[in-house]
Amino acid sequence: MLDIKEYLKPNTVQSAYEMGQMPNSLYVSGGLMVAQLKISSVERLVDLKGVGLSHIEDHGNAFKIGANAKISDLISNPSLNINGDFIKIALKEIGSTQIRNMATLGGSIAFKLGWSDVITIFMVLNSNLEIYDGKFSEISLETYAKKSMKGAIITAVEVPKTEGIAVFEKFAKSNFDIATLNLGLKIVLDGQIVKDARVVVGSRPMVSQRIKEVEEFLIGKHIKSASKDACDLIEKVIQVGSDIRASTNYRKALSKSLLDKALRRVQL
Amino acid sequence: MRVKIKINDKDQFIETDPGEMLLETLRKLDYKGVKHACSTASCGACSVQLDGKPVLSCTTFTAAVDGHEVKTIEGFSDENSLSDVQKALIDEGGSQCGFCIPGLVVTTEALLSENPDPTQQEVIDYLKGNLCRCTGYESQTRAILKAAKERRSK
Ligand SMILES: Cc1cc2nc3c(=O)[nH]c(=O)nc-3n(C[C@H](O)[C@H](O)[C@H](O)COP(=O)(O)OP(=O)(O)OC[C@H]3O[C@@H](n4cnc5c(N)ncnc54)[C@H](O)[C@@H]3O)c2cc1C
Ligand code: FES
Ligand code: FES
Repeated sequence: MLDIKEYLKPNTVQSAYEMGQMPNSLYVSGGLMVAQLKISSVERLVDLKGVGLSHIEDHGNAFKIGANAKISDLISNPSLNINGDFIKIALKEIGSTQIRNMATLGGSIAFKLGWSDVITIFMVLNSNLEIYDGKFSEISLETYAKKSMKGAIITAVEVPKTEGIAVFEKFAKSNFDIATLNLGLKIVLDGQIVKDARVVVGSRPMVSQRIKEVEEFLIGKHIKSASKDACDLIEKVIQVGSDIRASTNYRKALSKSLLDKALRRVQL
Repeated sequence: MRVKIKINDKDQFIETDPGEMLLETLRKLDYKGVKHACSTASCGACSVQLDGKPVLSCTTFTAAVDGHEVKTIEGFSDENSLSDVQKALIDEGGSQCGFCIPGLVVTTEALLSENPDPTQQEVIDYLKGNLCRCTGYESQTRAILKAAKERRSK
């Protein structure tokens, strides 16, 4: 447990950022992960929930989702239809009812957990983040996942409305466990020809990453005839590691079977 | 720091440490039905309702709940008599050691207010964060479906 001295509740993003710059401060939103940290240097929690940011807005060509929206808010929002029901079905794979009622979208991304399903799901949708670090700016989730942005606040996630079919696959040891490997696939088809493809793999165990070799391989090909070779390719090129959940070879084999399953699902 | 929380319909003004968890606060206030088990958001024994939604009190900062409404298991039984869900759990053999039951009942109440006519699969999905080491879940699922049916017929 954290032995903190202060729990601050700013009501603007600007004041939250200023408080976050004080030494030994840490932001908290849903609090699920922060509550479990054992960092003796943290003296001050800066609660972001008072700054608002729980909106879900339709901006025509994109949805803008405030960073404080809970995972369960996204599932229950009737207008949030992104690539059909994709986002809702995929987010139901996360934790339990209680965890989805607590975890915020911003907190789920900012922690950059290797096993995050949230990062894989939003990266496959080509999402961008709105960030505040003294000024507002935008950055792709793909870049954010690779970059250190200490002290910056994620204020919103922008999900473009694009054509195509998206699916999410998660392999875990039980239906309440975190992923041993997860995979998101989005395909745009012109008849049976792949016009565009996006493949993201998470829990490698490192943070989610696009597998560009497989995306490029699929584009321009007949989906049925290219599927087997795409699965062989992902097993060859994917960068994975070993940890308590699985070995490198096990994860490579899993990437092949999850992609196979995903490619079959987008053709249904 | 001082916070105001409505607990089981009663406003309470509470002195708390900034890093204190809601589980600890509630147990200190004698809401002992809220159980302390894993402390890692993994078992559901500490579930309470926050503004009507089930959350885990072991990983909820008390300071974050200031101005909100909490309902514990004590808020679901009238005057020390068992609720229909609790009775159904006993009748169907869904409670053995009983440790998981408060969290299970609090979560079930939220399920039934969101969805009064759940399917077996919907019960299983909604309650997958409420672990039980004794029953194997069959009897608990059966009890919840039975209580839901009886509630609908009233
Ligand atoms: C038992 C358990 C099971 C889980 N299962 C899954 C699962 O299956 N799939 C999955 O994807 N995830 C899972 N999670 C993780 C969960 O979904 C969230 O990732 C996690 O709770 C973080 O969200 P939070 O809002 O609680 O963040 P917090 O705990 O409040 O914060 C997390 C981190 O992000 C920082 N932060 C918070 N908000 C912001 C912001 N807006 N801007 C910048 N920094 C911020 C905090 O300082 C902290 O470092 C699980 C978690 C637990 C405890
Ligand atoms: S004690 Fe809170 S989830 Fe186990
Ligand atoms: S009845 Fe013993 S843990 Fe559920």
